Amino acid sequence: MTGTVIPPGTTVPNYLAFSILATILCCLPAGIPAIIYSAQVNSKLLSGDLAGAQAASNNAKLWCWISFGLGLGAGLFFVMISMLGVLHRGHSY
Amino acid sequence: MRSVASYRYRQYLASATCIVGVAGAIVLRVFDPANSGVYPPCPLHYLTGLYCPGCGSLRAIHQLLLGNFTNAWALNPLAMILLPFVVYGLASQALVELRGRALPEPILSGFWIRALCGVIVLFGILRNVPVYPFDRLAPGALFHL
Repeated sequence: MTGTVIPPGTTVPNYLAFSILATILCCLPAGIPAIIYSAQVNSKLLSGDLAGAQAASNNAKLWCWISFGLGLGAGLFFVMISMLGVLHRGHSY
Repeated sequence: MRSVASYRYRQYLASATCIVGVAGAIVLRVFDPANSGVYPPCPLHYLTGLYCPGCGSLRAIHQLLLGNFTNAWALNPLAMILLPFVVYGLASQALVELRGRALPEPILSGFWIRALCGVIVLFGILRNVPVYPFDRLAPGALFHL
């Protein structure tokens, strides 16, 4: 436990819950960097690297959004092709 | 320093997100993902036939909302283990936005978070192995022997 002393009450969000949710429900490949950056937030916070923790936090947030966007995009894409498919097949639901 | 307007904006956003979450839970309670076309399927499973670590989690949460714990467990055991923690984390985040104060959270070291990531990936790999006992990890396979 070295480095500068972080003032008490300082928190850097690590977005871990969002990362896990994004990994499982949205997009696994983009969710993994989100979890890894979440891990870095806590590692750096514990070692006193506040700036590094903040940077990792921003990256975790970014990758959560990328994962969410890709998951949403894939979902919308599927809805689109399934609607086209339904139009093609008529009533064979 | 954040302005008061920014705080207000974030409060509205958090409230709206909570409402969307509750609405989602109601939809998930009413429509079963197993046999209704309301939900898009997992893109990975749709394209490749492989199960991702999250496959079965929507069906599992549906069963959970109906009170069928064994069915939920069979559909995605990992999601059922992680769900309480994820819900707690999300509730904590919502409280940060609404009141500026989080729920008590342990600070996990980076090692444990990476280990968790490894467990999720490993679970995703193992549930595709078509050999007993790993094949029981596929969605719904546990109690349909």
